[in-house]
Amino acid sequence: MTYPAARPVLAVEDLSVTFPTSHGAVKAVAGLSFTLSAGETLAIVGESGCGKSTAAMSILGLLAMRSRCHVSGRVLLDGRDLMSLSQQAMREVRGGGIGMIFQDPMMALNPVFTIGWQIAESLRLHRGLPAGAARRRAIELLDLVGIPSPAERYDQYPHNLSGGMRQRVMIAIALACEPKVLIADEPTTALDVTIQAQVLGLIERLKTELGMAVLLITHDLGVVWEVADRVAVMYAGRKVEEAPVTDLFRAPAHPYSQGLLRAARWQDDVSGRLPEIGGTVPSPLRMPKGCSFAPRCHRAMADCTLEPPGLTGGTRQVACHHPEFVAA
Amino acid sequence: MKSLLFVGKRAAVVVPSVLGIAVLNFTLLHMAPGDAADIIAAQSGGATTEFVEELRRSFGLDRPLWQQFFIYLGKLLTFDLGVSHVQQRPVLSLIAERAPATVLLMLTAILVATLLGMLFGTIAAMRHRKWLDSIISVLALLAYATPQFWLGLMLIVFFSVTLGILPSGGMMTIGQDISWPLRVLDIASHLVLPAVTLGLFYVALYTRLMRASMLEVYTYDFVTTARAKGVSETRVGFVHAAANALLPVVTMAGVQIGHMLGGSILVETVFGWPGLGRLLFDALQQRDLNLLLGILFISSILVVVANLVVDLLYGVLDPRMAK
Ligand SMILES: Nc1ncnc2c1ncn2[C@@H]1O[C@H](COP(=O)(O)OP(=O)(O)OP(=O)(O)O)[C@@H](O)[C@H]1O
Ligand SMILES: [Mg+2]
Repeated sequence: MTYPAARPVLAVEDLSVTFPTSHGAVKAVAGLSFTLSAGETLAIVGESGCGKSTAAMSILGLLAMRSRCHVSGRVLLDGRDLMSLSQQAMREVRGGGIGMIFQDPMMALNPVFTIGWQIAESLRLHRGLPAGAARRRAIELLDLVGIPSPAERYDQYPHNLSGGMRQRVMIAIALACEPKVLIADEPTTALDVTIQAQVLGLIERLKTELGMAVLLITHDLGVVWEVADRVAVMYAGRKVEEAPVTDLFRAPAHPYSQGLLRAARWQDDVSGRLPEIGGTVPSPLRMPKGCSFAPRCHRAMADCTLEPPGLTGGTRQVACHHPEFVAA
Repeated sequence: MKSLLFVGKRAAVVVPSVLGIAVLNFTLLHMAPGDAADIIAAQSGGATTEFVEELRRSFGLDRPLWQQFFIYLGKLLTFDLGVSHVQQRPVLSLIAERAPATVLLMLTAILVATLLGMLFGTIAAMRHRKWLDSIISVLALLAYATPQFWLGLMLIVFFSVTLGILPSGGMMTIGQDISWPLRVLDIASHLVLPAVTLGLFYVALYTRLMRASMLEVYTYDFVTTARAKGVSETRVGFVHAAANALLPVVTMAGVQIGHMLGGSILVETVFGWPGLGRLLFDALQQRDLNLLLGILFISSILVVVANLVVDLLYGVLDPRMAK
C-alpha cells in the first residue's frame, strides 16, 4: 500500500464544472484537484450525485459533447494540458492515452455491432492496424480479459453475453491501445457480487501487468479497501478528504468520511440501526455559504457556516474547520 | 439454420394475413348491392327471372355462404380472380399488365425516400440546434405539408412546361424503337417527376423520424463509449448512432408501403403513369367490382410481401431480432 512518489501521469488541477439549467447554475464539481502516478489506484468515493461521473467525463472532454456545461481548470496527462488540445489531438488521447469504462455494461456496448468489431475499431483508429491484424489483436485482448474461446466470441453481439462478460469486453476496448490511465466509473456496480470480485481482480492484474494508473470511481467502500492505494472522498462537488486507504480506514478526519465508514461497517455486521448521516445533500442550486456539509454535521460550530474550509495537509488532506484524527 | 427458422416464422405470418384479406374481400363482395348474376342480367338488358336464377346456379350463388366462401378461396389460391365484365378480360391479366409500372414507381419512391430521409435526419441530428439543422427541419416541414397533387402539378409546370427538360406524363416515349440502354434512360426520365411527387412527403417524414431517433440514440451510453475510445464525431454520427437510429425508420417504411399505394393512385392519375393506381381509378369509376376486388387482393399481397421483406431486412440490421 505504498505509492510511488514519481511524477504523476495524470494531474487534475482545480477542476470545476457548472451546468447552466433553467433553475440556475448547478456547480457539479468545484475546485477538484488530485494526482495519479503509474501503477497506482486512486479511488474517488462519495454519495450518488456528488459529481464523480461529471469529473471523470470532463477529464476526457466528453461532457461538453452531451450537455451544455462550463468546465474550467487543468487536466495534465504527462504534463500536457488536455484542455488546450485540438479536437484531433484530444481524440488521440481518448482511448490512446486514457481509457474509460462505464457503470452499465448492458448499455455501454453498441447493440448492432459485434464485440470484436468494437474492440478492433479502436486499434484501427489509433494504431492504424489493417483489418486482419486488428482482428488478431482483438482476439488476443478478449483472451487477456479472460473471455473463453475468444476467436468464436469475436463475431458475437453484446446481447449474446452476460453482464460480467460485457464488462470484460468494455475493459478490452478501454485497454486496446494500452493507455497510461484507466478511468473506471463504477465498473462493478451493475454486477453480481461474485462477478464484481472477478472484474476487480482483472483490473488489478492488468494494472500491474501494463503499469497503468487507475482512477476508480465507486460508492462502495468495500471495493476501495480491496483495490485502492489512495482514496479521495467527495461531497457535493468538492473533495473533502484524501488519504492513503489504510489511514482513511483507520482514522478518517472529516465527519462525512466518518459517517460513510460507519454506514459501511454497519453493512458488514448487521447488528444495530443503520447509522445514517442525518439530513440530505444540499441542493446544488442552494449551496450553503460556508462548509457544504455543515447542515448535516454533528460537529458543526458557528464558524463552519461562514466560509468553506480549504484543503490542508500533503498526503493526508482534509477540508474541515474542525478535523478530528481519531479512530471512527 | 437459425436464420432459416427466422425466415420460416416470418413467412408463416403471411398466411393469416392473406386469409384475412380474402375474408374482407368476400364480405365486401357480398355487401355490394346485387350479385354478379344481377349485373350480367342488367348488362344484357331485361332478362327473365328464370335466366337470372340459372345464372346464379351456374355461378354457385345459390349455395350456402360458407360453401361460396370456400369456392372463392379456392379460386384465389389458383389466382383465378374472375373476369372484368366491363373490359371483357380476365382480371389477372389486366393486373399483370399494370403491376410492374406501379412496383417500379413505388420501389423507387420508397427506397430513395428512405435513404434521403436517413441521410438528412442524421445530418440534422449531428448539427442539432445549429443552422443546418434548422434549415433541414424547416424544409422537411414544408415538404411534409405540401399537398401531393399540387406538388405534382407544380413540378410539371416547372420541369416540363417551363424548362422542358423532363417529360410530363406516361412511362416511355411511344413509337420509338430504341436500344435498351436508351430505353432505360427514357423510362428513368419519365420516372423522375412521379417518383419525386410520390416520395417527397416520405423524405420529409423519414427525415423527421430519423432526426428524432438519432437524438434519442445520442443519449445512449454506447455513444459515449465510442467517443471515449477516440471515434470522431462524424463517425459517431454516421456509423455508431445511425446504425441504431435507422431501425424505426425501416419499420415505418415497411408499414407505409400500403399507405404509399394509396398515394400512387393520385400520382399515377396526375402523370398518366400506366400502373395499378390508374387501373383502380378506372375500376372505381366504372363500378367494375371484380377488377376492384382483384386489385385489392393483389395489392394486399404486394404489401404483405413487402412487409415480409422489411422484416427480413430488420433481422439483418438488428442482430437482436435474428433469434
Ligand atoms: N447535464 C446536466 N445538467 C444539469 N445537471 C447535471 C447534469 N449532469 C449532472 N448534473 C448534476 O451534477 C451532479 C453530479 O452528477 P454526477 O452524475 O456526476 O454524480 P455521481 O457522483 O456520478 O453520482 P452517481 O453515483 O449516481 O453516479 C448531480 O447533482 C446532477 O444532478
Ligand atoms: Mg455516476
